Amino acid sequence: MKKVSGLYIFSYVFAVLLLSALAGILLGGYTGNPEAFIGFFIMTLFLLGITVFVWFFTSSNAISDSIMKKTVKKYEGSYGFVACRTFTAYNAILKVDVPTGRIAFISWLNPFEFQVISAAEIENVTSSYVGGPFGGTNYVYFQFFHKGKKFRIPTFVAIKAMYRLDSVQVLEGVSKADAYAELLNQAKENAIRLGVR
Amino acid sequence: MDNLFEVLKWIPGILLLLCIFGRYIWPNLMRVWIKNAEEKGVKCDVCKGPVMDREEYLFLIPSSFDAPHVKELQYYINNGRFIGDVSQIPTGNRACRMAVTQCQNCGRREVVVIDFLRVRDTEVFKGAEAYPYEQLRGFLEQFPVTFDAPAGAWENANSKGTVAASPSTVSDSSADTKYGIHFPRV
Repeated sequence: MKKVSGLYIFSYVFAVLLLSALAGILLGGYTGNPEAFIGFFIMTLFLLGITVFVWFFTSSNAISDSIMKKTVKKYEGSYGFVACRTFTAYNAILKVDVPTGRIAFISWLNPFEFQVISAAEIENVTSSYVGGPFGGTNYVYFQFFHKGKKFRIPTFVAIKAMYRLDSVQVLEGVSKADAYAELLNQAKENAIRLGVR
Repeated sequence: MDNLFEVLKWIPGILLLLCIFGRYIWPNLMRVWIKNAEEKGVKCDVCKGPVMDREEYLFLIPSSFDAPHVKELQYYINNGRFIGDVSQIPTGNRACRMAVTQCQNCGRREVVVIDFLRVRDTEVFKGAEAYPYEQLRGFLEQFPVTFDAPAGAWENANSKGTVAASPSTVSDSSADTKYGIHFPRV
């Protein structure tokens, strides 16, 4: 499974460059000063670059989210993933079809691809949390390995605060992580039993 | 101006005192207050007599994780699936505990319906309401009791005339005290 699509990242960078060049051409042409083109190009490149960087690395990537949802709608019927357990995180959508032992994965950095694998291929399914200061956490997750690559899906994320381990939010996150880890293991058992490849 | 400096020089000291109070004194005061409230036990709404758990039933409900708590009793009656033990609750599935409580003085019975999510060894409280026993009697009589007050607990409690909620004689799952909250009476 591919977590990152080079083409998708490149299209983002290309869009930023194109917008910067357009702004440079328009504003440089408007002022009638050819040197202004370079100035506006660099300025817009810098501003858009920061915006896109922040957009990419926070959990509110609206473009990726909408593409991921459209991809799911487009392919779930044809792959037979309609009646199954679905978990939506900011970085991925995971669909687990326990009876047939198959998993569908859509990554936020590769949102056009609906990747289907046999659950027999996944290994080392665990659920845990990232410890923070004073025994708290702001990240609870479940993870699995596929061909040596780690796929970590958060069930609870807090950006600005740490939460106590016995807080309701963290316990609910732990419950989700445990439940999905259990589902993945069940799907794996079924896949091995049915010989799904 | 001099007065302003007079006030300002006390501010660090006041802040330090507030920090000490918030860190060391306030939590201990709360601890004592909660302990006292627990020792007093739950009181009957009508006669203010001591109330204790009589029986308890456990049901699975078709809800999971952070789904909102449903307040309608009919939802639990229609969808509750009886289970004998908390170990039978699947991971991530919500369950509800129907605890029958009885007043020691007037004998008034109530059923407290507690919706909770079990996460490893802890129970995350999601919501609860109390209903008159008569409303649920027919429904509860269909099932075996999951928890029953041990033999002699009622006699001991009555003879002492107190709540007698010592953990050795009565289950510590007294609905109100376990979660440290009071439920809306329906």
